[in-house]
Amino acid sequence: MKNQILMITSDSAAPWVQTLARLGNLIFVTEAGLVAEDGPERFLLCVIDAAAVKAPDKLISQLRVQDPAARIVVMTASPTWRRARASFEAGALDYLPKNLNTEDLFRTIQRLLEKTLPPGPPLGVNNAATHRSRR
Amino acid sequence: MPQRIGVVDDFRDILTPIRESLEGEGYVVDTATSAQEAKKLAVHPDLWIIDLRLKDKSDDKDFSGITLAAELSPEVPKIILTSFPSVQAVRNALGPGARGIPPAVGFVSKQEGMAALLRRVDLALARQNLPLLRAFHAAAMHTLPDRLAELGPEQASRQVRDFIDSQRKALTQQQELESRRASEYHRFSLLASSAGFVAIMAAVVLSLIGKTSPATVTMLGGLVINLVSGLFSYSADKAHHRLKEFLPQIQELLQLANLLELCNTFEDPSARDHNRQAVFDSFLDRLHKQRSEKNEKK
Repeated sequence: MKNQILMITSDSAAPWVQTLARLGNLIFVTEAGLVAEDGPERFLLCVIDAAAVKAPDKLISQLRVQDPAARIVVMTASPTWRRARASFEAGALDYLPKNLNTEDLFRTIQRLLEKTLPPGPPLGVNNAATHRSRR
Repeated sequence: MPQRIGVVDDFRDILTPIRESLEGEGYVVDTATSAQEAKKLAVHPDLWIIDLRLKDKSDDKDFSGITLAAELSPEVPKIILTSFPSVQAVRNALGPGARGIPPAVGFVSKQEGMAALLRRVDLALARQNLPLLRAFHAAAMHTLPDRLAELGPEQASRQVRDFIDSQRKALTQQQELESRRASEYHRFSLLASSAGFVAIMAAVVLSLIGKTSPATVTMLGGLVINLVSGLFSYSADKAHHRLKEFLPQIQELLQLANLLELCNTFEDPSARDHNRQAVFDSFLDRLHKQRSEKNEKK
Protein backbone atom coordinates (compact mmCIF):
# COMPACT_ATOMS: atom_id res chain seq x y z
CA MET A 1 0.00 0.00 0.00
CA LYS A 2 1.27 3.46 -0.89
CA ASN A 3 1.91 5.80 2.06
CA GLN A 4 -0.32 8.44 0.56
CA ILE A 5 -2.94 10.43 2.39
CA LEU A 6 -5.79 11.82 0.35
CA MET A 7 -6.76 15.23 1.73
CA ILE A 8 -10.16 16.62 0.75
CA THR A 9 -9.75 20.13 2.12
CA SER A 10 -9.43 23.69 0.92
CA ASP A 11 -7.16 24.70 3.81
CA SER A 12 -3.79 23.08 3.15
CA ALA A 13 -2.03 25.43 5.59
CA ALA A 14 -4.05 24.45 8.67
CA PRO A 15 -2.00 23.06 11.61
CA TRP A 16 -3.95 19.78 11.63
CA VAL A 17 -3.07 19.29 7.94
CA GLN A 18 0.62 19.81 8.65
CA THR A 19 0.44 17.25 11.47
CA LEU A 20 -0.84 14.58 9.10
CA ALA A 21 2.12 15.16 6.76
CA ARG A 22 4.20 13.27 9.36
CA LEU A 23 2.29 10.08 8.50
CA GLY A 24 2.61 10.10 4.71
CA ASN A 25 2.60 12.09 1.50
CA LEU A 26 -0.36 14.41 1.34
CA ILE A 27 -2.35 14.56 -1.89
CA PHE A 28 -4.79 17.46 -1.99
CA VAL A 29 -7.98 17.21 -3.97
CA THR A 30 -11.32 19.03 -4.05
CA GLU A 31 -14.68 17.24 -3.87
CA ALA A 32 -15.31 18.01 -7.56
CA GLY A 33 -11.84 16.73 -8.51
CA LEU A 34 -12.48 13.52 -6.58
CA VAL A 35 -15.74 12.80 -8.40
CA ALA A 36 -13.90 13.09 -11.71
CA GLU A 37 -11.33 10.45 -10.67
CA ASP A 38 -11.39 7.22 -12.68
CA GLY A 39 -11.32 3.96 -10.75
CA PRO A 40 -10.37 3.22 -7.16
CA GLU A 41 -6.97 4.16 -5.85
CA ARG A 42 -5.72 2.83 -2.54
CA PHE A 43 -4.55 5.35 0.02
CA LEU A 44 -3.21 4.86 3.49
CA LEU A 45 -5.88 7.28 4.67
CA CYS A 46 -8.55 9.61 3.25
CA VAL A 47 -9.19 12.75 5.29
CA ILE A 48 -12.36 14.74 4.69
CA ASP A 49 -12.58 18.31 5.94
CA ALA A 50 -16.31 18.65 6.72
CA ALA A 51 -16.12 22.36 5.85
CA ALA A 52 -14.89 21.62 2.32
CA VAL A 53 -17.64 19.23 1.21
CA LYS A 54 -21.41 19.50 0.85
CA ALA A 55 -22.42 16.21 2.48
CA PRO A 56 -19.58 14.33 4.22
CA ASP A 57 -21.59 11.09 4.70
CA LYS A 58 -22.48 10.89 0.99
CA LEU A 59 -18.85 11.40 0.07
CA ILE A 60 -17.79 8.70 2.54
CA SER A 61 -20.21 6.21 0.93
CA GLN A 62 -18.90 7.20 -2.50
CA LEU A 63 -15.27 6.67 -1.46
CA ARG A 64 -16.24 3.32 0.02
CA VAL A 65 -17.71 2.25 -3.31
CA GLN A 66 -14.52 3.32 -5.11
CA ASP A 67 -12.34 1.56 -2.58
CA PRO A 68 -14.11 -0.76 -0.09
CA ALA A 69 -10.98 -0.86 2.08
CA ALA A 70 -10.61 2.95 2.27
CA ARG A 71 -9.75 4.32 5.73
CA ILE A 72 -11.70 7.54 6.05
CA VAL A 73 -11.45 10.16 8.79
CA VAL A 74 -13.67 13.24 9.05
CA MET A 75 -12.23 16.46 10.51
CA THR A 76 -14.67 19.10 11.71
CA ALA A 77 -14.65 22.46 13.46
CA SER A 78 -18.14 21.94 14.89
CA PRO A 79 -18.58 18.33 16.00
CA THR A 80 -22.04 17.02 16.92
CA TRP A 81 -22.95 13.49 17.96
CA ARG A 82 -25.56 13.18 15.20
CA ARG A 83 -23.06 14.10 12.47
CA ALA A 84 -20.52 11.78 14.09
CA ARG A 85 -23.06 8.94 13.94
CA ALA A 86 -23.92 9.71 10.31
CA SER A 87 -20.22 9.63 9.40
CA PHE A 88 -19.59 6.31 11.14
CA GLU A 89 -22.73 4.79 9.64
CA ALA A 90 -21.55 5.84 6.18
CA GLY A 91 -18.26 4.05 6.83
CA ALA A 92 -15.85 6.55 8.42
CA LEU A 93 -13.18 5.21 10.76
CA ASP A 94 -13.12 8.29 12.96
CA TYR A 95 -14.64 11.74 13.44
CA LEU A 96 -12.27 14.27 14.97
CA PRO A 97 -12.41 17.92 16.03
CA LYS A 98 -9.98 20.23 14.22
CA ASN A 99 -8.96 21.90 17.46
CA LEU A 100 -7.40 18.71 18.79
CA ASN A 101 -3.85 19.25 20.07
CA THR A 102 -1.45 18.38 17.21
CA GLU A 103 0.34 15.67 19.21
CA ASP A 104 -2.99 14.14 20.26
CA LEU A 105 -4.17 14.21 16.64
CA PHE A 106 -0.96 12.53 15.45
CA ARG A 107 -1.21 9.82 18.11
CA THR A 108 -4.94 9.27 17.51
CA ILE A 109 -4.48 8.77 13.77
CA GLN A 110 -1.38 6.64 14.32
CA ARG A 111 -3.28 4.37 16.74
CA LEU A 112 -6.21 4.20 14.33
CA LEU A 113 -3.97 3.06 11.49
CA GLU A 114 -2.18 0.55 13.69
CA LYS A 115 -5.53 -0.97 14.65
CA THR A 116 -6.71 -1.30 11.08
CA LEU A 117 -3.55 -2.04 9.11
CA PRO A 118 -1.82 -5.43 8.81
CA PRO A 119 1.41 -5.62 10.92
CA GLY A 120 4.35 -3.71 9.42
CA PRO A 121 6.99 -1.06 10.22
CA PRO A 122 5.82 1.79 12.51
CA LEU A 123 4.06 4.65 10.78
CA GLY A 124 5.37 8.19 10.78
CA VAL A 125 9.03 7.12 10.59
CA ASN A 126 11.17 8.46 7.72
CA ASN A 127 8.15 9.77 5.85
CA ALA A 128 9.16 12.68 3.67
CA ALA A 129 6.17 15.00 3.51
CA THR A 130 6.01 15.85 -0.15
CA HIS A 131 2.97 17.69 -1.41
CA ARG A 132 1.43 17.05 -4.78
CA SER A 133 -1.59 19.01 -5.83
CA ARG A 134 -4.26 17.52 -8.09
CA ARG A 135 -6.48 20.55 -8.02
CA MET B 1 -38.23 -18.62 14.40
CA PRO B 2 -38.53 -15.14 16.04
CA GLN B 3 -35.28 -13.27 16.56
CA ARG B 4 -34.03 -12.76 20.11
CA ILE B 5 -32.86 -9.42 21.48
CA GLY B 6 -30.98 -8.89 24.73
CA VAL B 7 -31.56 -5.52 26.44
CA VAL B 8 -29.21 -4.33 29.18
CA ASP B 9 -30.07 -1.28 31.30
CA ASP B 10 -29.55 -0.73 35.01
CA PHE B 11 -32.71 1.37 35.12
CA ARG B 12 -35.54 -1.18 35.42
CA ASP B 13 -38.29 1.32 34.51
CA ILE B 14 -36.85 1.72 31.01
CA LEU B 15 -36.60 -2.04 30.40
CA THR B 16 -40.37 -2.57 30.50
CA PRO B 17 -41.38 -0.15 27.68
CA ILE B 18 -38.46 -1.32 25.52
CA ARG B 19 -39.40 -4.96 26.07
CA GLU B 20 -43.07 -4.25 25.27
CA SER B 21 -42.23 -2.36 22.06
CA LEU B 22 -39.82 -5.04 20.83
CA GLU B 23 -42.24 -7.85 21.71
CA GLY B 24 -44.93 -5.94 19.85
CA GLU B 25 -42.70 -6.19 16.77
CA GLY B 26 -42.47 -9.96 17.21
CA TYR B 27 -39.04 -10.24 18.85
CA VAL B 28 -38.28 -12.41 21.86
CA VAL B 29 -36.69 -10.19 24.53
CA ASP B 30 -34.32 -11.04 27.37
CA THR B 31 -33.42 -8.33 29.86
CA ALA B 32 -30.51 -7.78 32.22
CA THR B 33 -29.75 -4.96 34.66
CA SER B 34 -25.97 -5.31 34.72
CA ALA B 35 -23.02 -6.47 32.62
CA GLN B 36 -22.62 -9.55 34.83
CA GLU B 37 -26.28 -10.48 34.43
CA ALA B 38 -26.04 -9.99 30.64
CA LYS B 39 -23.04 -12.33 30.39
CA LYS B 40 -24.92 -14.98 32.34
CA LEU B 41 -27.96 -15.06 30.01
CA ALA B 42 -28.59 -18.71 29.14
CA VAL B 43 -29.64 -18.11 25.53
CA HIS B 44 -27.48 -15.92 23.30
CA PRO B 45 -29.45 -13.19 21.52
CA ASP B 46 -29.25 -12.22 17.82
CA LEU B 47 -28.77 -8.57 18.85
CA TRP B 48 -27.87 -6.64 22.00
CA ILE B 49 -29.25 -3.24 22.99
CA ILE B 50 -27.01 -1.87 25.74
CA ASP B 51 -27.31 1.28 27.83
CA LEU B 52 -24.20 3.47 27.71
CA ARG B 53 -23.89 4.13 31.45
CA LEU B 54 -24.46 0.92 33.33
CA LYS B 55 -22.58 1.97 36.47
CA ASP B 56 -23.15 5.66 37.16
CA LYS B 57 -25.67 7.76 35.25
CA SER B 58 -24.06 10.99 36.49
CA ASP B 59 -20.53 10.07 35.38
CA ASP B 60 -19.58 11.62 32.01
CA LYS B 61 -16.79 9.09 31.67
CA ASP B 62 -18.92 6.01 32.30
CA PHE B 63 -18.74 4.08 29.01
CA SER B 64 -19.35 0.73 30.73
CA GLY B 65 -22.03 -0.17 28.14
CA ILE B 66 -19.44 0.10 25.36
CA THR B 67 -16.96 -1.95 27.40
CA LEU B 68 -19.63 -4.65 27.74
CA ALA B 69 -20.36 -4.47 23.98
CA ALA B 70 -16.66 -5.05 23.25
CA GLU B 71 -16.52 -8.00 25.65
CA LEU B 72 -19.56 -9.81 24.24
CA SER B 73 -19.28 -12.02 21.13
CA PRO B 74 -18.15 -9.94 18.10
CA GLU B 75 -20.49 -11.97 15.88
CA VAL B 76 -23.57 -10.48 17.55
CA PRO B 77 -24.36 -6.85 16.60
CA LYS B 78 -24.89 -4.31 19.38
CA ILE B 79 -26.73 -1.01 19.60
CA ILE B 80 -25.76 1.51 22.26
CA LEU B 81 -28.71 3.31 23.79
CA THR B 82 -28.31 6.42 25.94
CA SER B 83 -29.88 9.50 27.45
CA PHE B 84 -26.49 11.21 27.30
CA PRO B 85 -25.32 11.20 23.66
CA SER B 86 -21.92 12.77 22.97
CA VAL B 87 -19.34 12.79 20.18
CA GLN B 88 -16.91 10.84 22.37
CA ALA B 89 -19.52 8.17 23.14
CA VAL B 90 -20.30 7.79 19.40
CA ARG B 91 -16.56 7.53 18.61
CA ASN B 92 -16.02 4.89 21.29
CA ALA B 93 -19.08 2.90 20.23
CA LEU B 94 -18.79 3.00 16.44
CA GLY B 95 -15.04 3.55 15.96
CA PRO B 96 -12.62 0.62 15.61
CA GLY B 97 -12.04 -1.22 18.87
CA ALA B 98 -9.00 -3.17 20.05
CA ARG B 99 -8.92 -5.58 17.06
CA GLY B 100 -10.12 -2.97 14.57
CA ILE B 101 -13.73 -4.10 15.02
CA PRO B 102 -16.23 -1.49 16.32
CA PRO B 103 -17.86 -2.49 19.63
CA ALA B 104 -21.31 -1.53 18.26
CA VAL B 105 -23.07 -1.12 14.90
CA GLY B 106 -25.64 1.42 16.09
CA PHE B 107 -26.02 4.36 18.47
CA VAL B 108 -29.40 5.73 19.53
CA SER B 109 -30.37 8.50 21.92
CA LYS B 110 -33.35 7.69 24.15
CA GLN B 111 -34.72 11.13 23.24
CA GLU B 112 -35.11 9.96 19.63
CA GLY B 113 -37.86 7.58 20.71
CA MET B 114 -38.76 3.96 20.08
CA ALA B 115 -39.26 4.44 16.33
CA ALA B 116 -35.59 5.39 15.88
CA LEU B 117 -34.49 2.42 17.98
CA LEU B 118 -36.69 0.00 16.02
CA ARG B 119 -35.32 1.34 12.71
CA ARG B 120 -31.76 0.61 13.83
CA VAL B 121 -32.75 -2.78 15.23
CA ASP B 122 -34.16 -3.73 11.80
CA LEU B 123 -31.03 -2.44 10.07
CA ALA B 124 -28.64 -4.24 12.42
CA LEU B 125 -30.52 -7.54 12.10
CA ALA B 126 -30.78 -7.20 8.31
CA ARG B 127 -27.00 -6.74 8.13
CA GLN B 128 -26.50 -9.72 10.39
CA ASN B 129 -28.60 -11.86 8.07
CA LEU B 130 -26.04 -11.41 5.30
CA PRO B 131 -24.24 -14.75 5.18
CA LEU B 132 -20.91 -13.09 4.36
CA LEU B 133 -20.90 -11.11 7.59
CA ARG B 134 -21.57 -14.26 9.58
CA ALA B 135 -19.02 -16.28 7.62
CA PHE B 136 -16.24 -13.88 8.52
CA HIS B 137 -17.51 -12.88 11.98
CA ALA B 138 -17.63 -9.25 10.84
CA ALA B 139 -19.77 -6.80 12.76
CA ALA B 140 -20.74 -4.68 9.74
CA MET B 141 -20.25 -4.56 6.00
CA HIS B 142 -17.58 -1.88 6.19
CA THR B 143 -15.46 -4.00 8.51
CA LEU B 144 -15.35 -6.87 5.98
CA PRO B 145 -12.25 -5.70 4.02
CA ASP B 146 -10.29 -5.27 7.27
CA ARG B 147 -11.51 -8.63 8.54
CA LEU B 148 -10.44 -10.34 5.29
CA ALA B 149 -7.04 -8.64 5.41
CA GLU B 150 -6.65 -9.79 9.01
CA LEU B 151 -7.52 -13.41 8.17
CA GLY B 152 -5.52 -13.67 4.93
CA PRO B 153 -6.82 -15.38 1.77
CA GLU B 154 -6.13 -18.97 2.88
CA GLN B 155 -7.82 -18.76 6.27
CA ALA B 156 -10.67 -16.69 4.83
CA SER B 157 -11.40 -19.32 2.18
CA ARG B 158 -11.23 -22.08 4.82
CA GLN B 159 -13.67 -20.10 6.99
CA VAL B 160 -16.08 -19.75 4.04
CA ARG B 161 -15.97 -23.51 3.41
CA ASP B 162 -16.62 -24.31 7.11
CA PHE B 163 -19.47 -21.81 7.17
CA ILE B 164 -21.00 -23.28 4.01
CA ASP B 165 -20.83 -26.79 5.49
CA SER B 166 -22.61 -25.66 8.65
CA GLN B 167 -25.14 -23.68 6.56
CA ARG B 168 -25.81 -26.71 4.36
CA LYS B 169 -26.56 -28.83 7.41
CA ALA B 170 -28.81 -26.16 8.92
CA LEU B 171 -30.52 -25.62 5.57
CA THR B 172 -31.16 -29.32 5.05
CA GLN B 173 -32.71 -29.61 8.52
CA GLN B 174 -34.83 -26.52 7.91
CA GLN B 175 -35.88 -27.80 4.48
CA GLU B 176 -36.97 -31.14 5.95
CA LEU B 177 -38.91 -29.36 8.69
CA GLU B 178 -40.67 -27.04 6.25
CA SER B 179 -41.42 -29.92 3.83
CA ARG B 180 -42.94 -31.94 6.70
CA ARG B 181 -45.00 -28.93 7.75
CA ALA B 182 -46.16 -28.29 4.18
CA SER B 183 -47.26 -31.91 3.63
CA GLU B 184 -49.06 -32.00 7.01
CA TYR B 185 -50.91 -28.78 6.20
CA HIS B 186 -51.75 -30.19 2.78
CA ARG B 187 -53.14 -33.42 4.31
CA PHE B 188 -55.26 -31.48 6.86
CA SER B 189 -56.44 -29.23 4.08
CA LEU B 190 -57.60 -32.24 1.98
CA LEU B 191 -59.31 -33.85 5.00
CA ALA B 192 -61.08 -30.61 5.92
CA SER B 193 -62.24 -29.94 2.36
CA SER B 194 -63.55 -33.57 2.04
CA ALA B 195 -65.46 -33.18 5.33
CA GLY B 196 -66.78 -29.83 4.11
CA PHE B 197 -67.93 -31.38 0.83
CA VAL B 198 -69.74 -34.22 2.68
CA ALA B 199 -71.40 -31.68 5.02
CA ILE B 200 -72.60 -29.51 2.14
CA MET B 201 -73.95 -32.57 0.26
CA ALA B 202 -75.78 -33.67 3.43
CA ALA B 203 -77.28 -30.19 3.71
CA VAL B 204 -78.49 -30.38 0.10
CA VAL B 205 -80.07 -33.82 0.72
CA LEU B 206 -81.75 -32.60 3.94
CA SER B 207 -83.18 -29.56 2.21
CA LEU B 208 -84.49 -31.76 -0.64
CA ILE B 209 -86.40 -33.96 1.80
CA GLY B 210 -87.89 -30.84 3.42
CA LYS B 211 -85.84 -30.63 6.66
CA THR B 212 -84.73 -27.02 6.20
CA SER B 213 -83.38 -26.17 9.70
CA PRO B 214 -80.81 -29.02 10.03
CA ALA B 215 -79.86 -28.29 6.41
CA THR B 216 -78.90 -24.70 7.29
CA VAL B 217 -76.76 -25.86 10.23
CA THR B 218 -75.05 -28.50 8.13
CA MET B 219 -74.47 -25.98 5.31
CA LEU B 220 -72.87 -23.52 7.76
CA GLY B 221 -70.72 -26.33 9.19
CA GLY B 222 -69.61 -27.23 5.69
CA LEU B 223 -68.64 -23.65 4.96
CA VAL B 224 -66.63 -23.41 8.20
CA ILE B 225 -64.82 -26.64 7.38
CA ASN B 226 -64.02 -25.34 3.88
CA LEU B 227 -62.71 -22.13 5.43
CA VAL B 228 -60.44 -24.16 7.74
CA SER B 229 -59.28 -26.12 4.70
CA GLY B 230 -58.43 -22.81 2.98
CA LEU B 231 -56.38 -21.74 6.01
CA PHE B 232 -54.40 -24.99 5.92
CA SER B 233 -53.73 -24.44 2.20
CA TYR B 234 -52.49 -20.92 2.99
CA SER B 235 -50.15 -22.28 5.71
CA ALA B 236 -48.80 -24.86 3.25
CA ASP B 237 -48.12 -22.07 0.73
CA LYS B 238 -46.31 -20.03 3.40
CA ALA B 239 -44.14 -23.05 4.29
CA HIS B 240 -43.20 -23.43 0.60
CA HIS B 241 -42.46 -19.71 0.40
CA ARG B 242 -40.10 -19.94 3.42
CA LEU B 243 -38.28 -22.75 1.65
CA LYS B 244 -37.71 -20.49 -1.37
CA GLU B 245 -36.28 -17.72 0.84
CA PHE B 246 -33.30 -19.87 1.80
CA LEU B 247 -32.13 -20.32 -1.76
CA PRO B 248 -30.70 -16.83 -2.61
CA GLN B 249 -28.83 -16.76 0.72
CA ILE B 250 -27.10 -20.04 0.12
CA GLN B 251 -26.59 -19.22 -3.57
CA GLU B 252 -24.43 -16.23 -2.62
CA LEU B 253 -22.10 -18.40 -0.54
CA LEU B 254 -22.02 -21.28 -3.01
CA GLN B 255 -20.91 -18.90 -5.73
CA LEU B 256 -18.04 -17.70 -3.55
CA ALA B 257 -17.17 -21.29 -2.58
CA ASN B 258 -17.05 -22.40 -6.24
CA LEU B 259 -14.69 -19.58 -7.15
CA LEU B 260 -12.46 -20.43 -4.19
CA GLU B 261 -12.43 -24.09 -5.23
CA LEU B 262 -11.20 -22.97 -8.65
CA CYS B 263 -8.35 -21.11 -6.94
CA ASN B 264 -7.29 -24.41 -5.30
CA THR B 265 -6.49 -25.84 -8.72
CA PHE B 266 -3.41 -23.59 -9.00
CA GLU B 267 -0.28 -25.51 -8.08
CA ASP B 268 1.74 -22.46 -7.10
CA PRO B 269 0.73 -21.39 -3.51
CA SER B 270 1.35 -17.71 -4.23
CA ALA B 271 -0.89 -17.92 -7.35
CA ARG B 272 -3.53 -19.61 -5.18
CA ASP B 273 -3.40 -16.81 -2.61
CA HIS B 274 -3.30 -14.12 -5.29
CA ASN B 275 -6.42 -15.51 -6.97
CA ARG B 276 -8.23 -16.04 -3.67
CA GLN B 277 -7.54 -12.40 -2.82
CA ALA B 278 -8.82 -11.36 -6.26
CA VAL B 279 -12.02 -13.37 -5.66
CA PHE B 280 -12.59 -11.66 -2.32
CA ASP B 281 -11.83 -8.22 -3.77
CA SER B 282 -14.24 -8.62 -6.68
CA PHE B 283 -16.88 -10.04 -4.33
CA LEU B 284 -16.55 -7.04 -2.00
CA ASP B 285 -16.68 -4.63 -4.94
CA ARG B 286 -19.89 -6.28 -6.15
CA LEU B 287 -21.43 -6.13 -2.67
CA HIS B 288 -20.62 -2.44 -2.35
CA LYS B 289 -22.05 -1.70 -5.79
CA GLN B 290 -25.24 -3.57 -4.88
CA ARG B 291 -25.41 -1.63 -1.63
CA SER B 292 -24.95 1.75 -3.31
CA GLU B 293 -27.54 0.84 -5.97
CA LYS B 294 -30.00 -0.03 -3.20
CA ASN B 295 -29.22 3.27 -1.44
CA GLU B 296 -29.76 5.19 -4.68
CA LYS B 297 -33.12 3.46 -5.22
CA LYS B 298 -34.16 4.45 -1.68
